[in-house]
Amino acid sequence: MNRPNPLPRPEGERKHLEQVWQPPAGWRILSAVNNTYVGLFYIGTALLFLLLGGVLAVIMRTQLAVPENNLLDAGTYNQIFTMHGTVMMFLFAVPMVEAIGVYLLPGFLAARDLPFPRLSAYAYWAYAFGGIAFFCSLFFGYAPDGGWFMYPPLTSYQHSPGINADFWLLGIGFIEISAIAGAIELVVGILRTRAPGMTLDRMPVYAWAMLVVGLMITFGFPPVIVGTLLLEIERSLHWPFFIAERGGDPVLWQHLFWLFGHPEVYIIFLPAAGIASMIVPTMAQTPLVGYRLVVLAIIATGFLSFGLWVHHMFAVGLPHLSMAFFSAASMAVSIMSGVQVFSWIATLGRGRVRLTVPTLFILGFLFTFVAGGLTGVMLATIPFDWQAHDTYFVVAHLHYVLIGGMVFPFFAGFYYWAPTVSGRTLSERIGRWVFALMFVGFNLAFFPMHITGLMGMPRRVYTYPEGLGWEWLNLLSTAGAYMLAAGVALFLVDIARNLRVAGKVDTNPWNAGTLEWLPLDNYASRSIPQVEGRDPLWDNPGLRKEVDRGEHFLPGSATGYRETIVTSPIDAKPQYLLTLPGPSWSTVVAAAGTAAFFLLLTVQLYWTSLIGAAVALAGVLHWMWRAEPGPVSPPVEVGRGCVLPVNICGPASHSWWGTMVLILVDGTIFASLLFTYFYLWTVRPEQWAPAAALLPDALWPLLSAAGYAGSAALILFGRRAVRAGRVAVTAAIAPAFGLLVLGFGAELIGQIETELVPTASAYGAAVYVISANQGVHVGALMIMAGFVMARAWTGRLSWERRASYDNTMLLWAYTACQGLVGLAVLHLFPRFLG
Amino acid sequence: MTRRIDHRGFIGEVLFALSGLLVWVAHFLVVYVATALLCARTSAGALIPVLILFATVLAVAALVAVFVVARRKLRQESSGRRFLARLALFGAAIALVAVIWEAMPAGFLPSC
Repeated sequence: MNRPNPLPRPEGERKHLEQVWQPPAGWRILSAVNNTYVGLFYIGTALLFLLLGGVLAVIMRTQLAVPENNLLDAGTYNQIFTMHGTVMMFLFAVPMVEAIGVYLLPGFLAARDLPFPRLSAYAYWAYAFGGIAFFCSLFFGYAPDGGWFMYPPLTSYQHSPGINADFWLLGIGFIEISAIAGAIELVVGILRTRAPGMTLDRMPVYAWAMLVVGLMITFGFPPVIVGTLLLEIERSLHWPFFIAERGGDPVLWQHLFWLFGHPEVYIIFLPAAGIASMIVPTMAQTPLVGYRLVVLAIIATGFLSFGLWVHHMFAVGLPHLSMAFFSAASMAVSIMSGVQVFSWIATLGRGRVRLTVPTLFILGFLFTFVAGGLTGVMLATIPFDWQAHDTYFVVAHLHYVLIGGMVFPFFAGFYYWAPTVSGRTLSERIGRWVFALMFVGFNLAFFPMHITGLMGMPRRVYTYPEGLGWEWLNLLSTAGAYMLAAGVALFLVDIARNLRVAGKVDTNPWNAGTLEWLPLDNYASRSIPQVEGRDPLWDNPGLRKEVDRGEHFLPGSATGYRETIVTSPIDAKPQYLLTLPGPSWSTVVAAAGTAAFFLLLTVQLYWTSLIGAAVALAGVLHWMWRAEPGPVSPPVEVGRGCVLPVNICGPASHSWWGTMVLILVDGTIFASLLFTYFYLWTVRPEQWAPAAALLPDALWPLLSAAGYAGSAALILFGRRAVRAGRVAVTAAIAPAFGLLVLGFGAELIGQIETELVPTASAYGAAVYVISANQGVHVGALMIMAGFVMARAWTGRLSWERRASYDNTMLLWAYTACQGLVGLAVLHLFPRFLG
Repeated sequence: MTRRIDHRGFIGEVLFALSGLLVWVAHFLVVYVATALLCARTSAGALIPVLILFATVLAVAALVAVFVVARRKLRQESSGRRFLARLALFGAAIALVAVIWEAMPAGFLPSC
């Protein structure tokens, strides 16, 4: 076959590539932004939180080992179980999913890096700073204590005074920001930086899983962002979203939380299933059986998982028929898990299986996850759920699903991909002990909990009396927990002895067929292969050497910068060359500022927190100022007559796509706010219906609508001004911003003129929070407008270098649409009801 | 290699590939929201099974249409695009099971 680049390659080509991708030395390595380093920092930090969450679990199990134990008092126990759940879900599971994605995906896709390396670095540092500070709240007795799903009214200001709950609400706030930043990177990276020829039907299953997960985070996290925002506003400003006496409803929180919370389970599980779909074929040395069905199962799970949230609320007292829809959807989703399980079994059956440590963990995963899935189907049956609700049966089920469905496959992944870090496998002998201890320990800890639960032991009790028959079951669970912890400790020993970051790696110890096993350096593979099938290394056994000799695309640095090829989303045809940024401190500074802002807000240092916000803003602006170098070179040839433009703008560019994903997030946040508004109308009609006096005069919304529409028209039309120069850009943006402020100001004045008070009723609170959301957008656009004009006046804005204008324009148009929809809802709906 | 980059068609192709599952979303939202609203705000609970039946028939018809179009595309398209048609086909099948399964309780449970 003709390869894209002929041999011999020019002398010094590889050395030049190495120089361009040289990682910073010594402690400056912390400023690295490329996936190999950020991915490893990310994985390491997520592992740290697994250990910390695990220590909390062991403390709890020690407390519960015997009845009437007094190791912990009830208050401390409340903090520990809340932190255990929160740490495991928000600081271990979701970050670990994204961490492994950031680390592995460029390898799978044969990209040099994902398209927004600094965004990954920012996501990581915000998580690391914020997560560690959040965890430390435990040492000062300020840790949240309302359970990891923080139900009001328990967690609102009347019943949880003090700042413990605020630590959860604001502490988790920036984890959500970090998760969304990571999701944007994953979605755009998977769709646009695949190797040439890697069409959608040749994409590794793991990449499919991460694509679906990225989109699930896009739609799943906004409801909980809105929920945490509303509860924090209720706690600090006393706007009564969840207070029944003033027209609020505590069940609203449950909807918003579980609208996120159930997709969250699949956000955690699908990447693990993706890992299994990569390891099983390698260990059986045969392609995955039913690739297309597995991909469909992953996509369909992404959809159906959004139709399950009410199954966490069966005991609330909702109408039977409503619950039945969710019960049926909960059963239907198991078909998709079943498709994947049968695919893995069939693949194992078709090949000759090697019983390595990754295989053992995958088998452990299959057994445990199927068991957890079956108890899930039991719990999806409403009458059974009523019996088992809030008992240890649920604790057993969720740990079977989460540890079986996520932790075991991730450990399989650690053992499987460790050679991509160090060039050699971890210890097979120690690994078998790790598996045995973890698998037996896990089942010993959690299987008895099914029985304890059926015998009536409620979850979250800090102790229990003697004589209920729970003693020996709890003792067994505690022994199992210690055994599980010993397995994890032994894994750390294995890592300490056998894992060293090698930098340059050339190994394929399991004879895998996918591209992450190409010879790797800081720049990923030397050249980017033309992909012809799903298992390129099996299809062409010589591919590793060809790629490393530079016979494929982009064998060096064509522009003198770090770069990767951007391809079309369906057919993976090369479209342009994207130059990538090098090491940067601005992301670290921005992340530290973000974390400081949220944490200082938590401890009620409101004015000081503004310093954090200013630092974050300065970091982001510094980073964005250097973000768009423009076409730094004329079009370059990357191989066999394939000439690509460098750094394009417009709808086909990665930055346009990133902004569109952000707008999806933003739109879902707005939809969640509208849901809040309509939900309160549905359930609290008697306290909702506003008197006519509470509606502003129609003049105000009409003026506001004119402002929004005019502003959007000016900014869309003004795009042409980019060609005309800085004066024309200013002449477009400045009046557009004036009209935007008019739109927001008219609405706000109209609302203020009425007697509507956000603290008096949930209706008022809902109206004001929708307006406040619009105000935040106007504020953000003010900064962006200033930024674009600054670029125009310093010669950094031109038609070939206009992403800052385009991105601002997209968010501007979205903000105007959001404003118009908001006006229609807030002014027409109450009038329509009369 | 041309410098003009064609990015059009992606959203349409993807929406088609997901059309069966989008029908499921629409059906699920309609039956859930209709039940919640009619139970909470009206005394017209008896209407709910009729409404669900109507929504389900519509959804099934839409899924059959997706199925037919996807089969036709499967015969016509090039290999990369055929994959999307196949996803549409499979998606419509799984959505059909989910739509019917989720609508069934309306036949034997009280509405509110």
